[in-house]
Amino acid sequence: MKVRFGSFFMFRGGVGERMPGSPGFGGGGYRFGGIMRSALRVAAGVTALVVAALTAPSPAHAEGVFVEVNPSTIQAGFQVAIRASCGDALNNAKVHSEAFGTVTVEPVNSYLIAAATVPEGKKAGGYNVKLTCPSRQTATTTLWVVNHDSPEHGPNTGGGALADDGATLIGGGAAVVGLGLGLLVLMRRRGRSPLTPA
Amino acid sequence: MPRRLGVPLAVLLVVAGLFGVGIGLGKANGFSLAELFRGPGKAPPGEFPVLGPSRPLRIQIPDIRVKAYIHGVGLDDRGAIDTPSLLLRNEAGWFDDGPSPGQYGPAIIVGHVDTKDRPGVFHRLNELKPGAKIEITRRDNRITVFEVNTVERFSKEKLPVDRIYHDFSRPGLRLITCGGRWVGGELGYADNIVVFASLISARKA
Repeated sequence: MKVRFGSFFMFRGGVGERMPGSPGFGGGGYRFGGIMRSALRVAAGVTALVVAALTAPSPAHAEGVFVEVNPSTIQAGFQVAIRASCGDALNNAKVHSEAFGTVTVEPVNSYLIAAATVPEGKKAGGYNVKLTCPSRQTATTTLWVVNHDSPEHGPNTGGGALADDGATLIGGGAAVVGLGLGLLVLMRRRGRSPLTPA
Repeated sequence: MPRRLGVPLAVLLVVAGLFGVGIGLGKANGFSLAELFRGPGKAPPGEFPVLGPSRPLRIQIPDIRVKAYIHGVGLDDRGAIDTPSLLLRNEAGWFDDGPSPGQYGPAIIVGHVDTKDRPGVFHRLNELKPGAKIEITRRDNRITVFEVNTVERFSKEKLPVDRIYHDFSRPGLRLITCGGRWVGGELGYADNIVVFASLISARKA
């Protein structure tokens, strides 16, 4: 079994992908005075509760129930980390996928966590990953599996037009050096001879 | 020739000649000046978007004036990534068994450095510097923007397979072309130039 970089600990750093159901609030941005603000907040809260009660969320998209895999794309034969929540993270839950079978996610640090390995021969494609909570609420996500023989050699990406074995430069350079040395010798000889004017 | 002119000229010729020989020897052994002045690598970002699968259609690298179409390639008989036909010297090939650009994992894109008589689409890949941007347009009409981390050269028979093909820790990109010494025959160039890049952002085209 091969374990890859992207696993568990990447999670905590809050890597890119926004998970469904994770609290994405914090925006807001209105600034009122103290009492006014809290009154508004209470009102907003009540409204939200009423709306929530009235619209009776479908179990599949219930608040705070989510599952995600990291990395969400993986080579067959490698391991992914699963993180989930059933609203709370107190009890074990089941996660099932055609890609890796059924695993039990367990509470760790306020999330439900497990690791699963996609078997080596698994066909490439997108696989549903389904979380089933003890409350029978569910959530799904997609795991993309790629499956290919690992290329062992580098591709042949050249025809040779730009190839330069340096022969011209070496030859030419050597010739120039020879010329320079010859000239030096000539100058020295001339300099010694009393007959030639400097 | 007067002596006060002749001696400096001779010295100049010797120095220039030695320089020429040096560069020539460098070329003969696959040494490149671009590698000397490339500077240190740039670390990948801590945060990045993640996209689903979608074929890459076009690649743009403004720093080295690359603008090219991309088509799919597979593996060839000897287990290397196939390359676009030499007739398509201005196209790049995406290894379509691997991740798309924007998915977790390394998207592999290969291109020719040259053909038998002309430069190819990636002939200046070796000049890329860490921090340079690479834009890839996908069929879902999104543009993924990658940033170069390092540019490295490896012998074709000793590629660091894990680093190039198996890093699923983030959405990555590997641009591969040929480089180094020309040995001819089946192999062509002895080495591969590999650009390691990481996704930093994505936007609608």
